Amino acid sequence: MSSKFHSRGVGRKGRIDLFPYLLNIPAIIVLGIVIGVPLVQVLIMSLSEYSFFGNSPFVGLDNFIRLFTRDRVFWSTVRNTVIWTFVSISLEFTFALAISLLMNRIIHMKGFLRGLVLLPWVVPPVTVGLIWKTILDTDSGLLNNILVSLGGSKQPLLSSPDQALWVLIAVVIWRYSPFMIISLLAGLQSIDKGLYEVSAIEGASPFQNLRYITLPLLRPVMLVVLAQGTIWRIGHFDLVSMMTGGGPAGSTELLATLAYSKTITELNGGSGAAVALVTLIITLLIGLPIFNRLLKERG
Amino acid sequence: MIRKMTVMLLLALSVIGGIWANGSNEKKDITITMQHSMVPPEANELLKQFAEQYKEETGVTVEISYVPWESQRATTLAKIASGNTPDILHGNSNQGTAEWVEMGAMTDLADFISDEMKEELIPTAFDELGTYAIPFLQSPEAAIFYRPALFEEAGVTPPAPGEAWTWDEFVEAAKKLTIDADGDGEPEQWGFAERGLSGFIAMKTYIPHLWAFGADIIKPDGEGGWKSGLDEQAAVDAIAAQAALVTEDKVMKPSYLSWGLPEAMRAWGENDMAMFACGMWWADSVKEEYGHEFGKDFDVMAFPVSENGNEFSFSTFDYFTIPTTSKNKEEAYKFIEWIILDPQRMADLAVIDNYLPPTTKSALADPRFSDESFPLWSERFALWSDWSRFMPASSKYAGMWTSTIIPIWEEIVTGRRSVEDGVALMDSEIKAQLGQ
Repeated sequence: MSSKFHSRGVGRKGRIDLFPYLLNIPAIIVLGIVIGVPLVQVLIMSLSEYSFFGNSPFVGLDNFIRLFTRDRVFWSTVRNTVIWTFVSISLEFTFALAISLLMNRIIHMKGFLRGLVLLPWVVPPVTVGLIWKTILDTDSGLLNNILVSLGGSKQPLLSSPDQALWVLIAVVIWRYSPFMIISLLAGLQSIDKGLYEVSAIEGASPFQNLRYITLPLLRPVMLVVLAQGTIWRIGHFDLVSMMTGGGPAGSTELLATLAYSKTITELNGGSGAAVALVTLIITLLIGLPIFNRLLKERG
Repeated sequence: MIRKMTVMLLLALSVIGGIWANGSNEKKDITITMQHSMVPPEANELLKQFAEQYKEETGVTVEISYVPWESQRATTLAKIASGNTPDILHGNSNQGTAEWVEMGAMTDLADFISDEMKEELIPTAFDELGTYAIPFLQSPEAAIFYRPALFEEAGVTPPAPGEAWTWDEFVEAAKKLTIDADGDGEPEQWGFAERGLSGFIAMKTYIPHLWAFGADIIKPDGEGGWKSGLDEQAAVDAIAAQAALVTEDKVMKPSYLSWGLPEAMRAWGENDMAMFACGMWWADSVKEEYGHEFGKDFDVMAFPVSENGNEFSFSTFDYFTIPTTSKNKEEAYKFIEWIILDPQRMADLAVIDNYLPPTTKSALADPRFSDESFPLWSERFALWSDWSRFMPASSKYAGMWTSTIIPIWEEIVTGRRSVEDGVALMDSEIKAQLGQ
């Protein structure tokens, strides 16, 4: 008995079967409404001298030209965002991989430990911001008290343009690494244990197990968490807005906070939309090749 | 035939009667919406009580909604952009409402404002936003809170009520009040502190410094427009004096750059600072958090002035505005007037909102706003009432502060840029933004 519908939308006689495509229509409509419409609006905003109230004359690419050539903070914000994204994701990934490998070997209290690891992830970002601001307070914060008690000197931390971005990177790793740990752990647990048994019989070392079994089989999960983490991180807003507001001296200004401040604070919606679109393009340039590769690997 | 006609006539009359009755009901079913951002939860309750009373008296329903100050600007802008604004909007120029007026988003209430209202409001009421807003609370933003006991220990005498220190006197006092008892180079008590934290709110910190020296980022050009105010020596002097508090005089906590209100509150509780610049609304929080009594455990003085003797300081109003998109402007104004012209309601609102002075003469006469119930109230009131000055009503003012002035100012304070370079850069950026 043959199936009426065939995979990939190709019919029995090579004709295209429309049914699978029809099934996608509701999702396309919903995505079109919640993503497509705002995206077109942002595009229109970016090409206009946008006013929240009244006329918004069309100015072509002026907002982009001004951003790239005359905006004093744009390029320093791009630099901050690049450092912020790549440093935090690299460190977070390394840390998460190490912890997930360790947790994968734990036999007792698995559930408790996983719950413990997830704790920073479930705390709302605003609360995380408040907690860390208290810990990092230059004068009475826990971190500086520990430093002083160990014989060190107080550090300005969030008050210093040289330190603030690095401190925020540490906080964001603390907040978001649990998600990466749990995702990688799930990937590790899906690897067939028989492979390790065979490699043990063959006399493989733990490093060889990691190099030739674990990492290659974990690759699809690693690519997903890296792509997802990078995309989220480029557009990150909440912790930075909460803890430093982009300062001091613009040292923690990121593309997302810049788009917000241009639109809401400066009432320069056109320029803010241009920043948002540039952020989107950067995100796509980084994210699309990774997802493309993933799809190809999955055949 | 006659019978049929009679039936038809009766039917027609009942239809007309029905429509008329329905029309009357519609009139009674008027609903107006009010968005406010008053912090104490009791204020929300009080406004709801007002709404209930108003409904009983007039049949008009008033729906009260609360939006916190932190998101008031973003929320309101989104509502303005979508044309879905409330009929009455509670605002404060800290949120840049002048820009909304210039955008054409707020109604000019000149035709609504009654003679009674004009007589009742204090003379400065329309200084800030003209007739686009009806102020109901005065909110001085540049008071200096101080601890009399710490002053006494250091042998420092505060200025008399109604007077202010010169900048030099202020710095000298701050030096005496900065105490490094163990000599480790890290004072246990700082002479002065203020809050930073980049963004919109940081304007409150820096505006008084510029104004104290008679400077501003923009000034009227005499032809109805604006010009940069940063090419004047006063601007350089003001910024140099503020930066020196950290870098040379070493009387101010450098960590203020990462400070919000919670950090300030903690430092106050730990006797970490002798003077702290903040809005007068903070007084009630200090009392509530630490039980500190105004006039005894702490007091306020005016912001210091430069040798030029510019006797003013940064102040704002809390006010009600009516967006142009409101479909019930007349009813909205009536409700505003119903609150403001009643001394009891106004005084209740002012007492709940941190004892900020109301803007009507009759409410100011309420016994709760007197020295008996609030120590030294009249001296303080005289001080902030006489010294108030408001933000210029330019749509670009707030944006200029956050995009240009504050980041460069922070570069100066953290030693990344010299004062002269920084002010020159601010000046060129502001001129570019003004198209000059």
